[in-house]
Amino acid sequence: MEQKKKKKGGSGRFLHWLPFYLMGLPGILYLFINNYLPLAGLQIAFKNFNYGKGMWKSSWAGFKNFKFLFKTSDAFLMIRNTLCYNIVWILLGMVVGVTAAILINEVLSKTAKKFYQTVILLPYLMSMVVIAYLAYAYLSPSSGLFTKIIENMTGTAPAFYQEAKWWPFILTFVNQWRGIGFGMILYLSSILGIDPAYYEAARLDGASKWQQHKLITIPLLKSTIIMLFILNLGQIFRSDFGLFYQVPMNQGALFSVTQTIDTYVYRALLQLNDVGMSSAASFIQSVVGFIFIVTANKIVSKLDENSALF
Amino acid sequence: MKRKLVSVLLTAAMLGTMLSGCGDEGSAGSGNAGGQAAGDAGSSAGSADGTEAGDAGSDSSAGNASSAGNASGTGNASSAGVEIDFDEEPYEVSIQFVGLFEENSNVENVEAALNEITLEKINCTVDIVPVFIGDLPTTTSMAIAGGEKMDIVAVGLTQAMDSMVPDGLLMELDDLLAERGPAVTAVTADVAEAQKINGVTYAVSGYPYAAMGSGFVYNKTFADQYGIEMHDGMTMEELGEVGETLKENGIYLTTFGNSTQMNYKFANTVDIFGDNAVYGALTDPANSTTIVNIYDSEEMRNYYKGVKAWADAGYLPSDQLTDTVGTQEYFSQQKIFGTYTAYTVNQIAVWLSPDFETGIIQVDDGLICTGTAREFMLGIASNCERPDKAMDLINLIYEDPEVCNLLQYGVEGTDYAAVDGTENVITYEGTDNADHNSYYAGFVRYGDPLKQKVVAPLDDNYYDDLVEYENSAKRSLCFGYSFDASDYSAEAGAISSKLQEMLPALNAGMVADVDAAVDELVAALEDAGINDVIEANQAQLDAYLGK
Repeated sequence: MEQKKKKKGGSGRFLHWLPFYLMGLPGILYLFINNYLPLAGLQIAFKNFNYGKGMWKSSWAGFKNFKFLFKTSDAFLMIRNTLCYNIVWILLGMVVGVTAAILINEVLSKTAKKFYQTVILLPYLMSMVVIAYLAYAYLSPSSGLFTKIIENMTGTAPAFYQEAKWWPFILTFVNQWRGIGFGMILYLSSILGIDPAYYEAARLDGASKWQQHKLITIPLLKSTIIMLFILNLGQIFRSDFGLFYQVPMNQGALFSVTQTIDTYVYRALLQLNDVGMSSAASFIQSVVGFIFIVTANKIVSKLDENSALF
Repeated sequence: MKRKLVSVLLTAAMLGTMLSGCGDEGSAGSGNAGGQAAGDAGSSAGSADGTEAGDAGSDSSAGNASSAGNASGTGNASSAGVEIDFDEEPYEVSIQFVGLFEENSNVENVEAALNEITLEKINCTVDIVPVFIGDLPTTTSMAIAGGEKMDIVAVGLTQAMDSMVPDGLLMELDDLLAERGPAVTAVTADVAEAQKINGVTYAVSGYPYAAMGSGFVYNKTFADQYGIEMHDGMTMEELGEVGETLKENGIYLTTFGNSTQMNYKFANTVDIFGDNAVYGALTDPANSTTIVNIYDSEEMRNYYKGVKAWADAGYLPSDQLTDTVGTQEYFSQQKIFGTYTAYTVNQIAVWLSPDFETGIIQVDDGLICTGTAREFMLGIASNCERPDKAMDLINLIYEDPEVCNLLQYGVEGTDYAAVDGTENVITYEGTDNADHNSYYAGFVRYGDPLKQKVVAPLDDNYYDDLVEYENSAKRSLCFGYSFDASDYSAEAGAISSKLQEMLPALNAGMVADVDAAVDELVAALEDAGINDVIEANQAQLDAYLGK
């Protein structure tokens, strides 16, 4: 590369790459229009948005739009919930996803493999509203399957929708159950890309299944795992609105463990309908996500340069 | 193969839900997976219904004085003396038409019928733009922000004037009204103050008879069957006795569901500021102008204690909080006896059912306040190209019974039929519009209620009743006032969120101790800054009254 550059000089090199740039142009345009142009809208978070005047002519409001996020004791609660759930789920999702991918990969029958994969992926394709009613079918106070079973065994029926203590577990279960199929696909495709020769060699040397995965699969999956981890960190200040709003059936009694930044924004602005305030919330989420991604990437590049994302 | 498998699995999953859902009392559970979006829309629409809706009436014989202006005699003027330029190309005025999910298949015919009149009288054509009520605020604000054509907008309900004005969505109307809106000014004179914010008129009321009380609507067939006597002014204790009778017969007294509304307002007439009184309320609006945190009032505590007594006695469904069946559905399915609701002369129309007789009692007196006068209004979008033409059409709607009835009810014969033996009563039965899919404006009111027809079972007495109820109602001392909350949106958001957390359990009577729960709620609201908001509101109100 270095040598080529010296030989051909600037313009020659540009001409050489021109067809490729042209090929990339539609994509670059798309990226620009879809991802960069809207950045101008970030200013709405700092404005008293007035539809009549439009975005550019509305008056500046300083940090006024951000105030509502920190107005109550809820601020701590929702940030804690958002962060804690995300950290647990990112780590858990990684472990469960890799495990599921390895297990599926071990299934020999092609039909069975396809079957399991479809079954595991199925929940990911369901709407949260449907999932909320599936959960309700199990947890409903009057007719839920689990409620009735527990009532028959212990004599008292747990009031799932009134007691916050159950929900960290229920939400975690629902989240993993729903997400595992999709998380698994990426790991599975990486595993399929591993050269079978490694495993053959290992088997000849007498390595057990466990040793094969520990010493071949996991190390070769490392870059995929790290990439997904870093990308997931960018979403750490966001939450799946459907999961936190629909699945607990919007029950006030559960807010201590189900209120996240997104549900708070929805509830606070339901009646106010304020574009500036919702932009402010989204702005914070993006900034925090950005900081997390950059920091995580920095740390990774310190530890192992090849695995870093950028 | 794969596709087959997926379908088998889906079927299995759905079967599983249905079976476990129908396990016990078969109450809420299954089936209703229709989507929260629809549910939300339904509930907002429901609350709209609950406060007003119905079908307004008319009385052409009441002949409003509006069209009495001096025609200039040149032929280039409307009957009200407004100069109309008939030489220009007719301008097309768009007007919002708000409903639920109706098809409105007959809109084009209605437009054609309207155009015949409007072209002749004000030289413009009409473009009716149906909007789903759940999308109304978004549709309007996005259209105006995006510079799309927008003329007459429906103001009120989910798209309140107080929030549209600071958002810059509405045009100032005072000059236009003075020049081109004599009929509008005449009809809405009594509520003119409520049409203003900071002394500037931004919208005109489509229901200037703003008196509204609190009532209890009930299943009259049940009442007759079980010998229940209902009368105006019934207290919660008396309704509780009714609940006992009903319980013996396996019917719930009422249900509140997972409600985040301040239901108290349906049982007691108060004047509130902001949704759910987030900016405070006047508990005795006809006599006092002291704004209080209504959640901290003794009356509110007693109301919640009353509801809890009902819940404890088993008069309310036990799984209200997770129930996804709305109150209106419960009522029409005859699973509950009745429900608190706003009381107006035509409120009963909202609750009618083909399966049973409906009755309504008034539990608290009517009140004329800013909020009710602002429920159904028309305004002009801030980006309207020809505000003069928009105002001409608004004026014609108020002036010409034919125009207002065409807009409100559509074409006679197709969209509604006249009821024999009456002057102004109509019905949808037996027309293409029986299922409301031909032309149905559920959430907007056009023009003068006294010129509009009225839907059966209301009768020709409606117009007298309406005027009489209006005249007998008290007027809130702060009528016309509204709080400018632009400096308090952070507090409003925080308060609103706290209410959504804590109100449902109180509303349903499902708290262990009402006093403790209310104390907790009040503390949370104060933490969110409700006292600062009320103080600012009081200062603004005092300034308003002192001027």
